[in-house]
Amino acid sequence: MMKGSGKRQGLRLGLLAGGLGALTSLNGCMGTVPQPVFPLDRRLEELGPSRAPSLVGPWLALISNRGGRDQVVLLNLEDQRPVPLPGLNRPDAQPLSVGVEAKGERLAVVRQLEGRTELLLYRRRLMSSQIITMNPQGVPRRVMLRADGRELAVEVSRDGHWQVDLIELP
Amino acid sequence: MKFWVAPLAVLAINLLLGGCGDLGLHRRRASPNGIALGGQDREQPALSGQGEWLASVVERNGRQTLMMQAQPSGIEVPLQSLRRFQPHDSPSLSWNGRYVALVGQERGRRRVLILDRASGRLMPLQLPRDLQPEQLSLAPDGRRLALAGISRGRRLVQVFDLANLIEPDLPRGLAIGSMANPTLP
Repeated sequence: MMKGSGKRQGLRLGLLAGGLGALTSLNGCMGTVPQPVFPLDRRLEELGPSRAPSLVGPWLALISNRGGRDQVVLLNLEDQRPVPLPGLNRPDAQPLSVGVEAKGERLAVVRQLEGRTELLLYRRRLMSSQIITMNPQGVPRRVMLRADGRELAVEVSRDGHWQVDLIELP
Repeated sequence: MKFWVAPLAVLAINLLLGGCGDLGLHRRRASPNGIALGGQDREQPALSGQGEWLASVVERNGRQTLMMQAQPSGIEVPLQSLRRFQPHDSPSLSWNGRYVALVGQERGRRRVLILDRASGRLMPLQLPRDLQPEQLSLAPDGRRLALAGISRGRRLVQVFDLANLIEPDLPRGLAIGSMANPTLP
């Protein structure tokens, strides 16, 4: 009697372990499943077609297309609302890349304006943009602002090659 | 008198910042530079939160390969486990460079991968089937991932929560649990 009950229990445990093992293997094959952040996704959908995200702390900077025009958007993920960026989005400019620091105060942007491509550093509090020239001369394409805000990594086309410039910020 | 002071101060600062350009900024080419790489291209730079690590994409044996370097020495750290997922795209690093997120490829399908350099664990993420990943940004603490891609013909950005999958990589000197109001250096 005792022996039979022990066997059944062993069988159950075996099946449970086997099932868990199979699930683990399946997860290993398919990959880890991350959860989308709701209702942020709905908020992002409302922004229109978007690209080039930079996610740092509570800040998400990206380029979204509204009414056929690309513009830089900075979202505060705590209230999931866009933050005003006065003076940054010009109607005649085409943003290509954006980066934000963890404090959310400065944004680095590569944009095309009047036939040239330029890198600029935007300060929210001052509502000012500072153009950063490439030296030696080159054409920036992509920018990344270090999370602590102290350095830029810029992908630059120079002498027929793509290179990476590191620019320290004060 | 006071009415004039504040606007004038802001205007002066704006003029100084805008007018003086970027004189005095310290620049350097990421080492080894283009010449040391044999004239190769180096693209898609990503720095860790405090700049100790630089990830970029270079071409090796005809394939886009992630290169991970200590800064400022430029010493390269091999990431063997990523090899089978070439070509690599869009690297992103956590605060201390513990996590490397990137878009890779497996059997012709683009995949989002996260490598934990502390444990060596490589995590391919299982994303919605109709989402073709293009570009990503890992939050410095590793808790969230912003992903740009194409879904049903539409460009979009989605944010995924990774808090249950990986432990946070915090700025130096910051204890777990104190991230609600991180004090940056």
